[in-house]
Amino acid sequence: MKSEIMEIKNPILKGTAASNGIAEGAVKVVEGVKDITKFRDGDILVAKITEPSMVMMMNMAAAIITDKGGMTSHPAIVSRELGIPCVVATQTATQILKDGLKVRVNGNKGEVYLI
Amino acid sequence: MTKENYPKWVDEWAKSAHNAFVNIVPGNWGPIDYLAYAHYNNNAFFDKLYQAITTIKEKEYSKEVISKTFSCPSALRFAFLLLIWEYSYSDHKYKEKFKEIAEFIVGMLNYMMKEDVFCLNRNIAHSREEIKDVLESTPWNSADPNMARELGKLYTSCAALAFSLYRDFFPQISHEIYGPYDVSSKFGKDAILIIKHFPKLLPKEIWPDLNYIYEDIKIFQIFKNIKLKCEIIGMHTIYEGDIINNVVGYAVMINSKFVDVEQIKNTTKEISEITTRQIQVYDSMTTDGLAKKSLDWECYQFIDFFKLAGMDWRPTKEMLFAIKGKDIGSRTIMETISSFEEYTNSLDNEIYWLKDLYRQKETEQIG
Repeated sequence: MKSEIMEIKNPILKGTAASNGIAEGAVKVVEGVKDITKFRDGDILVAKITEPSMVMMMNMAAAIITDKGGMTSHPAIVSRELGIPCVVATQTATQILKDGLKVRVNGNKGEVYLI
Repeated sequence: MTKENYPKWVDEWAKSAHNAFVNIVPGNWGPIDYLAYAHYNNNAFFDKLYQAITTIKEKEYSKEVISKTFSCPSALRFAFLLLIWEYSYSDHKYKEKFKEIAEFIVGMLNYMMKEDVFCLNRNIAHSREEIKDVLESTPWNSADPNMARELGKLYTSCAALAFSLYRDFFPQISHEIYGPYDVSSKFGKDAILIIKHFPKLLPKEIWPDLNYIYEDIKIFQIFKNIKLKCEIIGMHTIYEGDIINNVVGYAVMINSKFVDVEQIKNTTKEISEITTRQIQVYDSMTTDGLAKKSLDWECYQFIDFFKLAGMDWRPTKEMLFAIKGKDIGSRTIMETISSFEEYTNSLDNEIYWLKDLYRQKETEQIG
């Protein structure tokens, strides 16, 4: 109950709900293939927009958050196929979220919460 | 014809194209500024394609033979969009020639699609008989959520490979989603079939150094209680419902052979690694090199079509000259999309130029 109330009151980010589901994990802000060494199974992939070079990380991610994109952008399509939550078009995810932050991604509402 | 005297398909195309843009914008695509590229191209590709169409018509090939030269309907639809861009940016508008190209492409799409030609909602390119054959000849496996996730990973890897081979403007050559097909006769009420096809995954003509076995991959999935919507580029899918918990059957075909779970997992891993290597190739390429590669991609969309016409598929000297030394940026940025009203009427957008093909002759420049 407490977490539900927190969700209603304090989203740290809002965007377009692009793939349903709720997931929690540690943020990893990624720019490309060079970030593969820091990415772990179950991390939350945060990027300006996803690119094919991130394929290995996308396949390990618990959720995806991007600054840009629409309902049929790359992160949105891929997330729906993987069955993981996705929030796109947040504008500022890569600026606000830092590596290691624990967040909950609500792909149904398009919201992200600190936990 | 409408009251403005242009054919109905122009309005249908406009609706599908605008719908697709709305769902993807804002966007930022690479590896070059394709709008600048289309501007500088200035009829060079247009001329090559016109020559091929003329030759193919003279040779009187059947639509069946011609349709098989295109990897999928979405590749042809997007190639048409790029051609309209090239035409609308060109200094000289060869209206009658472009009208012939447009009507040829729309005619082929009408033949290839069983309904919804420009894929406003669905990508139905298989006949009922073809789907019946798929249902009967496929060794279906039952699926659970874990398997659904594995299929999602295979899909993501194949899609990434397609992007790494053809980058942001041409992946539809190698990535098509077909469906939804009603398969309730075999799988019960509300069952649908979706076919995820990745053809031309090994394009050695444009990447001679590729060294792997994957040429063609198909993922067949049966869902219940799921709605699928596709767009003008079929890979732009939107599902309604939970596709992880509602997949009831699947099969995967690699290079025309059905494979098992272990082969699926191995393929996913290997293709992810191939993609990661391939994407690094771009880091060493110059802007000029990337622009030249874009010419290769543009022509490769029609490789089998040019071959059918007895032509060299590769870019012409005119195409190479058109972009040589030109100031082409590294990204194509589209932050907004016009309202439907503006999109269909403004000179700045492509629909105006489609309608213009059917306007009065006094404004024409005959090529």
